[in-house]
Amino acid sequence: MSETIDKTPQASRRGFLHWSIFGLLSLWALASLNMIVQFLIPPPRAHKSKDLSIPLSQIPPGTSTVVNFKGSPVIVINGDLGVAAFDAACTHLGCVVKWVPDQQSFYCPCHAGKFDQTGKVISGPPPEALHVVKVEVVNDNIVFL
Amino acid sequence: MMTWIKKQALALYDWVDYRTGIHDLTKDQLTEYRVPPKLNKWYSLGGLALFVLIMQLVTGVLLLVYYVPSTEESFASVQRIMLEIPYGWLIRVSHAVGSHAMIFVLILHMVSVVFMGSYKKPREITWLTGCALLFLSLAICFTGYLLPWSQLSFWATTVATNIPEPIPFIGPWIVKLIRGGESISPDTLNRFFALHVVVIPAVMLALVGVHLFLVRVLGISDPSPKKNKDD
Repeated sequence: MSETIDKTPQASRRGFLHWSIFGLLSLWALASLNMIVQFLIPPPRAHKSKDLSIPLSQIPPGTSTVVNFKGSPVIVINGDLGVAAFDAACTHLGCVVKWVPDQQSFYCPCHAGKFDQTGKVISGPPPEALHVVKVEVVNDNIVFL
Repeated sequence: MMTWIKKQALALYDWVDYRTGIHDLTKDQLTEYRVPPKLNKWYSLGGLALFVLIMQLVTGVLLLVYYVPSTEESFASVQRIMLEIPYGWLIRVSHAVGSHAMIFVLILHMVSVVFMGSYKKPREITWLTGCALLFLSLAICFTGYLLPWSQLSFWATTVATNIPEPIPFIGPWIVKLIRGGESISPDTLNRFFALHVVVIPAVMLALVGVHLFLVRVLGISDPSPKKNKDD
């Protein structure tokens, strides 16, 4: 801590070597750190296709399916009122809801939130309706818009 | 400004030092640690082995971030590390080269200890823990080899796990125990994974602790001829 600068040739040579080694080690440490940071940055997941469609025959009346749409889970149902799709994340704390065909409603397993088949809240803690994802049935295919 | 920062840093250092005694500890064990005169390159091998061990731990933890231990996905996850993840190839190859370097350095270390007679009294426990560490290193290399679940690793493990079979009576039982079944299966991969990333590293670190503690307690072995009063 309290080193004084010595002007004798030997001392300055020692100082030069000292700082050279320190500098090289710092460079090496920085390069390694850069490598590790780049390694750990989440790599982008390639989405297979932007235009998603599923055959209507995959979900007969009363059933549902969960698909990956733009990286998030979307639940598609074939209920009494026809085909509809919602962002499957519950509006309370983001758990994935499931479709209960007997009651024609969505049920969230985390805190027992319930939604009807248009996504409106029936009971439980969710503050708002499920987010609608627009779909259309074209030639027996459910097409995501 | 700089003097203020320096003052605060010193105050923090004093605060830590008062509660840990780190100043005297660094002085005694690091900056003013006395070693015997005339040390040569052969004395660096233990430190080199420690460096390789640390590199293996760092690269191993990084590989663990992307590796998936399952027969379905492990090969694909290794391919992803090699081809897609930035610097993944470097980290995986470092881990593989490091495993070879570890055995190479340990054998050289052992040779120097044998030739200089450093294993003799009172250093027997240091020697025995060192021997155990060599065998554990071989075991960790062996268990790590299966993890990519490639053709090479699958068949190499099939052949190597067959080795204990000719042992009378208990041979087939040992083979079954290592494989977790009659043949190499997903269970084999899982038990090798558990051994490779948890069990063996934990035991190795504990033994390295004992080994280094004894090296410091007993001091570095000095084989230079002494004036014998008794002879």
